[in-house]
Amino acid sequence: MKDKLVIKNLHVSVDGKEILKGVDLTIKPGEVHALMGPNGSGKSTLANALMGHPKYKITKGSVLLDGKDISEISPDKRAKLGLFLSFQYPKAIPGLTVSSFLRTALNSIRGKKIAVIDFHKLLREKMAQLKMDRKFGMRYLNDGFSGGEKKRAEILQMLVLEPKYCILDETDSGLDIDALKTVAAGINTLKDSGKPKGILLITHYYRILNHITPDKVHVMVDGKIVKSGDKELAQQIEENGYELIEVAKNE
Amino acid sequence: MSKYSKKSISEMDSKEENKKIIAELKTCEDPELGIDIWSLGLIYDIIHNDKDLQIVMTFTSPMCPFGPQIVEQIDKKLTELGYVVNVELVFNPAWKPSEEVKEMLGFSG
Repeated sequence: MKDKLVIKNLHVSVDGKEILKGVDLTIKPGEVHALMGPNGSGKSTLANALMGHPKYKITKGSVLLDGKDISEISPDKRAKLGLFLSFQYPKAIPGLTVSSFLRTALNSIRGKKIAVIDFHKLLREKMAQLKMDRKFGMRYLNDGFSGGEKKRAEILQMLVLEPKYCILDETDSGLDIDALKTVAAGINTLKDSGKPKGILLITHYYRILNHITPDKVHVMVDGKIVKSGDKELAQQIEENGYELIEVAKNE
Repeated sequence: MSKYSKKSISEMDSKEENKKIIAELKTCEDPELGIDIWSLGLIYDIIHNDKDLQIVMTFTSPMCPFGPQIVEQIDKKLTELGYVVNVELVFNPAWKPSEEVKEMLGFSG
């Protein structure tokens, strides 16, 4: 089956400095992969490079989405193929309402216009899943949003667009426990609805894994995945930190 | 009073024979608002008489400068479906945006 996101021996440089030094990872629809690792290990670099941020140069290796090499195409084309990135630091766009932004994004992804009335029905349904007030759609995108609202807006976007492969870059950071549960429920809903989705969950903390069960846990250190395992591995890290893994790598 | 009455969106929506027509109306846009005429609630009734089709509708205002353009779109798209189309304009009752439309247009707090 071609249905998978395959990252092969990926090397990525930022401003001439090599950050990723050969990452291998395969994500199939229906799977949740958690990516953990200390600060500066290259997790966000992987996320940005996958989506096509121009600052992140792929110097070696490839990224295949359902068999198609996406490493040279623009971010909007990657999005149309079903790739989605939830930003770690979403940007504010005053003057553009959440509703208008999401409708335009959906029309662009689908390549045809959805009737406004049908879109609003869809939007209200997704907002209800995330326990969002319907007035949220009328606000300017991320403008004056709290940290939790920004993350929720990212998840709302994900639910509306229904991408096949979702990269969530520290979506759990800065959320209180109730918001975390809501966001986790949103991710689970997406995962279990309609066609299967592959999810790459980049996180620092074990706590979100109490709500979203990962099929695999990977640990990244210094631009490489040094260890992969199941949920147990994340538990070990939570208890002992990354030290043991780093030591093991250097031996 | 006009000889036509205004039907609700849900009433028109519930009729099987209207399905294809509504799908087309959803692709006709008011160029000024960028919203399709079905979502705006400009369609008051859809009357079938075999292949003869009467679309009873209004504009956001009687002076709507895009009126002829909108009617032309409807006529073209529904003719392609095989209907003989007759667009009937009525301004009584006048168009009033529903709460939902206000929300879609971005002017409710």
